[in-house]
Amino acid sequence: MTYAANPKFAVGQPVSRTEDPKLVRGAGRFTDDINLPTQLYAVFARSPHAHGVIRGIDIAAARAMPGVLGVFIGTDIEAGGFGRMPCGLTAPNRDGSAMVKPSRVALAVDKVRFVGDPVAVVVAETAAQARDAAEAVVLDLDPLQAVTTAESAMAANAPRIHDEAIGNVFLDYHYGDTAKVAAAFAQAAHVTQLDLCSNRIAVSPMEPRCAAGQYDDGQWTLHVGCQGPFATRNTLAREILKAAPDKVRVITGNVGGSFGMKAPLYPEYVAVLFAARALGRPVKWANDRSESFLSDGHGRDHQMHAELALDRDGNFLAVRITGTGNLGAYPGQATVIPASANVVKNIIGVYRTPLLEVSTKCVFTNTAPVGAYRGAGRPEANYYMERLVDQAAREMGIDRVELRRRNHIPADLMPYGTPSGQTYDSGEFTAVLDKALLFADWNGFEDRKRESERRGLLRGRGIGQYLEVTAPPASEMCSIRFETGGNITLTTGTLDQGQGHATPFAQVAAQRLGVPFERIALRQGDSDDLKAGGGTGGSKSMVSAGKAIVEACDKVVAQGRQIAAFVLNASEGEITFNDGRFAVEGQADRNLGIGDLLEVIGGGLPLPAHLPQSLDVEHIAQTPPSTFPNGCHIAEVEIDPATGVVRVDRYSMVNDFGVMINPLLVEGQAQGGVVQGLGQALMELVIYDESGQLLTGSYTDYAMPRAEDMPELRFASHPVPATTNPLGAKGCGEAGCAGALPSIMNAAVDALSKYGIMHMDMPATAPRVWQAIREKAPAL
Amino acid sequence: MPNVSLTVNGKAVSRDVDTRTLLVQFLRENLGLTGTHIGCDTTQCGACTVHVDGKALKSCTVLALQVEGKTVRTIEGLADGEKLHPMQEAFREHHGLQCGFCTPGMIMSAVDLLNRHKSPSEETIRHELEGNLCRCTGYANIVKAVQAAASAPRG
Amino acid sequence: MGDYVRPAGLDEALEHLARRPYAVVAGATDLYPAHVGRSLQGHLLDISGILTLRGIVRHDDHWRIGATTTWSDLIAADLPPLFDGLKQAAREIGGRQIQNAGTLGGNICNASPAADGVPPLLALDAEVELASVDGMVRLPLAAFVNRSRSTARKRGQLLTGILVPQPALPCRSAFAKLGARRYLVISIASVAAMIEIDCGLVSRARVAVGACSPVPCRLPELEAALRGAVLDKRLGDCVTESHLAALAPIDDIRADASYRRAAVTVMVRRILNQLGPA
Repeated sequence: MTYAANPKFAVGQPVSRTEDPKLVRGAGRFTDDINLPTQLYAVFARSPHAHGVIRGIDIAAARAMPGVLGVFIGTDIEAGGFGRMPCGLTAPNRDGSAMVKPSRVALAVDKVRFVGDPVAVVVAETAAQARDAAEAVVLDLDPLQAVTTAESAMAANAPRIHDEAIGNVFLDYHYGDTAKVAAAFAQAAHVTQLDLCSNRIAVSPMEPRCAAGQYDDGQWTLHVGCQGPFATRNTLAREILKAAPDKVRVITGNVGGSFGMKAPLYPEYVAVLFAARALGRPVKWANDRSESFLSDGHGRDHQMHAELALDRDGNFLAVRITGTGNLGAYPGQATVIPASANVVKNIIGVYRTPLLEVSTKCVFTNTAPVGAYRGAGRPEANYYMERLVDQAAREMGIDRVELRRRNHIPADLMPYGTPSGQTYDSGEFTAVLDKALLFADWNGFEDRKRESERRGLLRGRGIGQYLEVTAPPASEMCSIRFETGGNITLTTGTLDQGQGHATPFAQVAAQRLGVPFERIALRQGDSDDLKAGGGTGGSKSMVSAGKAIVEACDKVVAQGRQIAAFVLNASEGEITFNDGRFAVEGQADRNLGIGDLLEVIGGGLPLPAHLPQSLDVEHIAQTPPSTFPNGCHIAEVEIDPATGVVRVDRYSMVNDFGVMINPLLVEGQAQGGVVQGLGQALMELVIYDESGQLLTGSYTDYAMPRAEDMPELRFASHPVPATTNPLGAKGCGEAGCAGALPSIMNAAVDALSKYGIMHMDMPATAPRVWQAIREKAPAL
Repeated sequence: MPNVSLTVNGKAVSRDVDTRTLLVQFLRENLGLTGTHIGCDTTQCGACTVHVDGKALKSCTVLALQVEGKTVRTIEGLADGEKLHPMQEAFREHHGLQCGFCTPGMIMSAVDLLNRHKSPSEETIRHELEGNLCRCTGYANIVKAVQAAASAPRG
Repeated sequence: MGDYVRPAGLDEALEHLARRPYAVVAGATDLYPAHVGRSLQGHLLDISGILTLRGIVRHDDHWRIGATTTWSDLIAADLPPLFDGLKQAAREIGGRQIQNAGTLGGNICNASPAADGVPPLLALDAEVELASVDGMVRLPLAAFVNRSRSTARKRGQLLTGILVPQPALPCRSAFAKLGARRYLVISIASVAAMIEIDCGLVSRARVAVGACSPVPCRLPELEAALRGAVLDKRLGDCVTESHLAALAPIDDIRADASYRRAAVTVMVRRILNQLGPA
């Protein structure tokens, strides 16, 4: 047996994924595929009203239904000693005061605050029985007026959703030097302004949320799809169950997509654990898709006034973003970051912009809580800037390519300190733009436009040059265990939700240790394995887990060197390590591979007590700083002016993801980001009516891209290695969205500029586009 | 409870079922074939696609009792033992899946597609996959995988 | 839920129907979506086992499409250009899996304002055949689908077939649909047209529109205006918004009424221009 790394699995190779043989057979283990012995089924009774005071919840009829073993409401959970739903995040208001943090009981006790707010959990022998009984729960409400938009929630006469939140403001956020920014605008030769909306999105991973709770003699177990079992376990233990962490275990199998949505702790998870303890049997709950539309965290929903100040030559002087984020009904599950800090970090993108100011009010409304969605503020900020740039170019009569080049942060200014406090380590923004123009055949556009016009269609092209600031540092772990027989188990605190961690992580470890890729398996998703773990989110896993893996591999080598020195009868300082082999320096024939060492150790050779007794390591790494993936996406759209139908005809992207450990998977991530961006730009919109009823409650009314809606997605790279992490990698998970929103919308506006249309809001649906054309050209 | 007898992945099965049991519930809960997934409740997503008498159907829209006497093939019945079906192989090779949740339904639809179109154009493939939603891939590599499977040697 | 019965013969089915109310299902593609978040209730009569209700047969002066003929059956059938529009509609209904299960009869009986099968059948001047223990009756399709989500089917009656007259003259037909997305999302508007041709002129035209009125309906003013028109690629240019007087489009989250009216006008023009050239 050779026990060595095969170069075809080296870092940089497009290795197909090791988990796929299982998944393509339908042998994945998603949460709903797990059935625990004696398990019961939970169904939630949810509020049909958006806002109201609870007078009573009558569960008697439901309790008496066939098969029903328990019906629990919020007061039961409070009486049972459970803590309230936490809101971990804290940011100061602009006046320095702390943001309010209204508490939430998992099942509403005093008021209901959105349609879908759970008020009772019904547990029965079968799911059908639980469903029947949930329909029999009677909620007695004094209805209150509902508010569904940030604007209406802040109005003087608006009903207050949480007593603590005056004017329904959750966070009054501010960043920047107001006076300096105002001065820059006052001096500007030109100011471009746009009102920009980031439309509300139903995140909709294809696997609905699901959870199964278990309680056994003081030991809690939750099976759930999340983004990191370590943090989920800690929050559950500390905030909800008031139990020692070792009494709580969170287990996650395959996760059928998340995109930020499954990251927080949801009330349903608390309720199934409560019910499991109360009834002494495991309790499973699986969301129906209709319930998902109501109860999953939504994404986006920001309304911003965006302003860019330029001098006479088109140099950017300052950017100012002022607006609101609709956070929905509850903190905790909602997050303020997309509408606040991530706008600050990402707004200047690739452009020298010395000053910035961001003021946002994050506001409670009677809608589903709004959490993270792919990019969580990063794509939005890039969208704001790239729309401003195109608009400024048009207004000032400067070519949009030239205006971008003129303002790029030049590569020779790296590392570059931004006004948001970031330090860009690397990036060649002009080169990326130039490469994208060639790749997209920018100059061939006029011919294609004539061809479109011949068919009665408008054609437009748009640039979306983005830069994202990926998630900030945290701690992350990697353990490496050498199993009997030569298999190697890597364990990380990151958590795959479809990204494909197992393959690139193994590529890194195989190369570092010189061991066979095929022998390496990745273990994730069990909090009992973890001493640390930031989970997966914010496009950071390859960078954070990557550094942990690299350092853990170094520790393996260090331990191996000590053992090899003993076995080879040399001093530790004489031992070299190359390509998986330990050798005595200058005596190449005195060497041992990692495989040999494992055989020696496994064979029972007694090792002196002062030496490591195995090669196994468990390592916690301080993860490296944020990376700055960037790129330039170019979209071309065709618009039928008679019907308003918009179709993306060509889509080309050049991205800088630094060193791509596995380019096949990186390309897949970029494509996935683009499709979600295209959906937001052209189709997707969550609509509530004024009373807070959800009008887009199924895939019939909520349009998500299908195969026919997508153009070919052409992918090219301009990799500039990151200098701040050992792999040189940059995050790639969310970037597609950041390039897609502006490139597609700039292209749509470009096509419509024929009619003097200067802006379209997302989503640019056929009726909206038609309406915009009619307003400018009624005779058409 | 009424009884239903049918052939699933080549094996005769017979079970007593509640009248309102959908085929997808029957497969997942009564037979433990959890590769067929439930992604929606309005017959839109296609994650539950199986073949009934050789044709693709959404198993969330059929009552178990309606398939009495019929032949059902699920994702678990596609591979030949250890050897993946060419479509499964193509999805694996071309990174046609990410989270893998829509994948069983997508593959069952794609196999049905190739049963009817020997060398489909990209346009045909995209049109034919209209009944299946994927939130992860952007469909680019799914289309690539189906094209690859279409040109792979059959047999 | 109540009982489930799956008779093998029509007579048995009609006897069941005479005895008590049933929800009739064949492909059952609308059954599950219609019960989102609720349990299925009531008794079910599954007519998919009645073999005589499925298939398309040519008679002397008409065609008979069995009620449980699926959209896939229709797409696969060898049919003349008369049915091109109906086939185009079939290909745009719900995706392949739904086309394999969903039936023409079910699409009609659901009576959705946006049912894609109904406009092309109206353009074909179809009749429906209703059976009960008391015998068989026929009704024009327009009289059968008479209100949104409601039909003229009486208790005890079963829709058994759709009858399409065979025109004496050569004819062409077409269908087009506009949705937030083309397929699974319910139509913003759908249009079907059929023209009979005599010496290069339109001798008869039927044009029907879905999703722009409580039930899909024909456009008699336009049909009259088209009579005698020259068949060429400008056939649709004569269409004006006044020809669409029969429509009563509504505002909903997919589109507002003014958009629907304008889009339908464009679609009708285009479909006629497409039918025009030789």
